[in-house]
Amino acid sequence: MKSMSLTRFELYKILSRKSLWIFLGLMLLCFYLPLQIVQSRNATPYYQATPPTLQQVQAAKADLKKIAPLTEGTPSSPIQPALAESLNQRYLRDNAIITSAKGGAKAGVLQSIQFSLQRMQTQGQTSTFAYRATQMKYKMWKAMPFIGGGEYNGGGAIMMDFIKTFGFVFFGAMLLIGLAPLFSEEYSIGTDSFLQTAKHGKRTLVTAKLMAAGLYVLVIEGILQVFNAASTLPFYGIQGLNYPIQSIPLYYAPFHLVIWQYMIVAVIIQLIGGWAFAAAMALISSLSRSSLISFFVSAGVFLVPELLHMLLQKNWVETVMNFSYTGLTQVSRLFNTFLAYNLFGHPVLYPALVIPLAILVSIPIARLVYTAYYRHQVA
Amino acid sequence: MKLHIDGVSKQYKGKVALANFEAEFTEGVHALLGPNGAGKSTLMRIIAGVLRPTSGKVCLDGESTVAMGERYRDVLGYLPQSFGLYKNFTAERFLLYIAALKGLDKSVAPRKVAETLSLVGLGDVGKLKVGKLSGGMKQRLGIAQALLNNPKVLIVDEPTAGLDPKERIRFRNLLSEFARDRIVVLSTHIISDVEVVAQDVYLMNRGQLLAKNTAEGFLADMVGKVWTLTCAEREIGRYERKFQVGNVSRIGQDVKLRILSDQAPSIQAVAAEPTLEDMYLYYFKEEAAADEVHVVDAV
Repeated sequence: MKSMSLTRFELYKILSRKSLWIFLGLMLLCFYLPLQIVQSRNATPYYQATPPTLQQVQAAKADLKKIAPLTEGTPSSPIQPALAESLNQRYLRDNAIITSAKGGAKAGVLQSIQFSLQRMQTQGQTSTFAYRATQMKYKMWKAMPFIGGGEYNGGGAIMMDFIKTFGFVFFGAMLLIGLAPLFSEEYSIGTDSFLQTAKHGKRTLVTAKLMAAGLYVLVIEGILQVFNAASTLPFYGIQGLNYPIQSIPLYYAPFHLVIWQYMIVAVIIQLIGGWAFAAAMALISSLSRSSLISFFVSAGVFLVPELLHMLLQKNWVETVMNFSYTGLTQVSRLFNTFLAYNLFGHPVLYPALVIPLAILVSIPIARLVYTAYYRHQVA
Repeated sequence: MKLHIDGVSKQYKGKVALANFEAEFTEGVHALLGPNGAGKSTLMRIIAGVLRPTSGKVCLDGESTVAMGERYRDVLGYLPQSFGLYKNFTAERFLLYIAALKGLDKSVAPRKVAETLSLVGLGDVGKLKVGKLSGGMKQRLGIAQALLNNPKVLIVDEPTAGLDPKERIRFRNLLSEFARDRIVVLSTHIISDVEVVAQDVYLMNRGQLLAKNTAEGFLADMVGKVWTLTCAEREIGRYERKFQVGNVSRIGQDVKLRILSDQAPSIQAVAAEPTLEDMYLYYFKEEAAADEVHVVDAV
């Protein structure tokens, strides 16, 4: 296939930019890694992964009573930091055990959903979208296994946190730096004449460029996730990867997934988000003669929803964020809580809607890249 | 093989860059000559298919090049006037990339790249990064990419700009050899290039075709219009006001003027054998003066 051989060259063009690797190296080795080392000394919260025994609960209750007076201290003899730390650990553990004994988050959520369903039934709203959505939510929570109390803060949790925070930022920045010049640099440095007059310099070239962009997204995601694991697991260990995702800050996620499964799903979704964003950037780049303009417009597409979200607490901003490349690439937003959209009266889960939508929207965007490049004229 | 330029016009925001240009190119070198802004590069871009004309069309053997699409690009080689290169690529990798773009078979491409590099005198710098090449070497690499697919139609816009005299001669010979069974359209300011290789010359100015002839034909037309005159230095101004003065050379205390005029400028004036440079000055007058750098370059 002609486009495969061209794809190699197009990928080389992207990857041979030193600025990319300098930026990534600085961010990962000089910024994130030191931060990770410092943070790894912090206390690890406790997560009760299995239903607690009666003895465990009694011991936790007794321990809570014991540590309560110790936490107060006096002005003349304040609590020593080491003791405070130890008391805090015990407090978190005891609370986690007691919460687990009460059924954890699942019990509370199910109770609240049942209440809502009953209310709607008495109000005769059983044929409404809201009722169907609540029923769906109930079924999802009902199917959930035991969810313990407390919070898991081991390697898996830190790796998941990386995907939605630093990893997301580095991923977005690397896509912007690497792909904003995809076409516009050809226009600005004047290589477009060579390309457009070559036999395979139109359709095949665009295909090759899009494929190279896709491979680049894959390479960057791969590097970030390898770094994520390499910089986390040695400090935090691998235990806890089979805990439910409700043990990390996705407490109200109605999805039956354990952390290692969620990791795979999150990486795939981040890749889909990255590919969709890469297609959008390819279009912006194909329309602009300046890599800088292409960079800033693409950065705007990526960052404006996040900025709006930070500045405005409005429903429409939430919707924009939900359907933005930012929201999709952050991943955790898709799993945070139960969210269903009304599709012809039927509730469709937000992740089940937004992922196919991102793929579907990318198809006409990719088509437009071909058109924009075809229409480009050498000035 | 015939490349027909059929009433091609191009306007940029209402400004005419090319007006109803008509030409028919067959095998051989066809030179476009004219000052800056004459519309040469616009025409070249339209022929190469990287610029859409406002009206008119370009046809190869009767078929529109736009409709031919990939088939036309398969037989096309184009060297633009100004171009960029990927500074992270080696010269060899760059040509391998162009070879892939031009659809050369993978098994043939490395050999063809090596041959073309050596053809343009870059055989020993193939492994060097493009960013490390001199301006002349980059120009030769540009030429190499245009020749890589053995094009049947070669469009070269100012190909010898930036080349040293030796390389210019080498390229001219290459072009001459190449054009035996191919169409070569050459745009240049360098009149000596035209004189040696072009089978016909198209004079262009302000987007219009002023005249078309062979180099010999233009020279024949100039007979009786070129004069040399030896005079005192103080008289230069007087002649410059009345006539178009070309070269001024010093002979002892006096100066020898080369004057373009339909009649003898003075009874002392002696008819001289015309050159294409005289023809260029004769046709383009003010533009040639404004374009002085290039004319000097050509001398």
